[in-house]
Amino acid sequence: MEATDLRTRCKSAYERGRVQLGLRAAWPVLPIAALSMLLTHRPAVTLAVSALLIVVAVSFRARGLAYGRALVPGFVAGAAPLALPILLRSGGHCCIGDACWQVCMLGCIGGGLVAGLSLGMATAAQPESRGTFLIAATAVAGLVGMLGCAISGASGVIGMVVAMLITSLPVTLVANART
Amino acid sequence: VVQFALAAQTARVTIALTVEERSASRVKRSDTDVELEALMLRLAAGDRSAFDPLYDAMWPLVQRLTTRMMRGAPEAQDAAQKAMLKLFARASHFEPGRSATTWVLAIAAYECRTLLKRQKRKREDRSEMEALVDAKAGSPETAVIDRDFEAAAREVLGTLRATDIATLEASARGERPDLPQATFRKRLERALARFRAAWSARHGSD
Repeated sequence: MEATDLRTRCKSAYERGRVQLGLRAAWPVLPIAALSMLLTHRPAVTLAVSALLIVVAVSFRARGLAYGRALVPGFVAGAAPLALPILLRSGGHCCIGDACWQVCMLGCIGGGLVAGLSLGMATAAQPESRGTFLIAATAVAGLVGMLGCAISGASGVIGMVVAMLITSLPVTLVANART
Repeated sequence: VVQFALAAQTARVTIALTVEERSASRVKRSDTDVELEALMLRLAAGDRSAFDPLYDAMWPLVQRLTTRMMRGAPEAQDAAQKAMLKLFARASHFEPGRSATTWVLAIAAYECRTLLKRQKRKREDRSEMEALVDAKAGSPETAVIDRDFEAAAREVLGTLRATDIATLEASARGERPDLPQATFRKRLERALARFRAAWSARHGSD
């Protein structure tokens, strides 16, 4: 085997190893997808989002660096908008003044706020590539949250995403300024 | 007394120099290990820019170890290449705090041991097979059976037509008469069928 050929084969072996690592890191998607499928009763949305989440998780972990580091904080942050609407799904309506909201919709927004806070703090703790980390972690948390917020439809998902974005960025900036 | 004092001083100086050299080499070795560890950690985190320097640092290390372990055998190169492939496939699992050199050399040594074991097993299998063949060929019982079998085959062959005999003999010698390949093959098939029929008629089995 030529020296350059061996180098190329070593590179391929390394990339294969990275993909295997990514596949191993994507396993939490399966129980989350099963939970979402059972409780949200939107199989098409659940399947599409889960497939996308698996692709994102594998490619981020395989890519490594800030993308790889963002995976676990993304899953952790996404747990709030995943769990809250599911836990509050039988809560009926909540009226504040003239405006009435579904409780699970409020769960999505609240979950998004918690997720954004968590993402902001995790981003501020990063030593480098904070922008990439924040984008990657937000993508993962958003997809995980979507699996829970699918219960309240498109409005729930949009509410969760907006809430996540409006908290994560300021928290990152404040934490950045403090450090 | 003066001679003894001089000898003792020389010995002290020699010991001091040796200790100094050893500690210097240890510092140098650990420096290399620290550099390798840093590169390994970068690669494990997904930093592809660490690949080339790490490859260049590890290849001579692995080659040296496999050549020494395989005692310069040509398979040492194979072992080194396999070790390098395994090493990069597992590079993402490298954990901080581990000695990179030890990790790399452990993989290369394992590859050498596996290759040496496989070679030993092959040699044993081959020598067992040769012993078996020698034992069979050498026994007088086998020689008598072979002779009887050949005589019986010649007897049956004598009952066939001259063309069949010529075809079978040519095939046994690995020759092919000046005939198209398909014609010779058909002739051989027919001659074999007739030989089998004649053998069955005479000895009652194929």
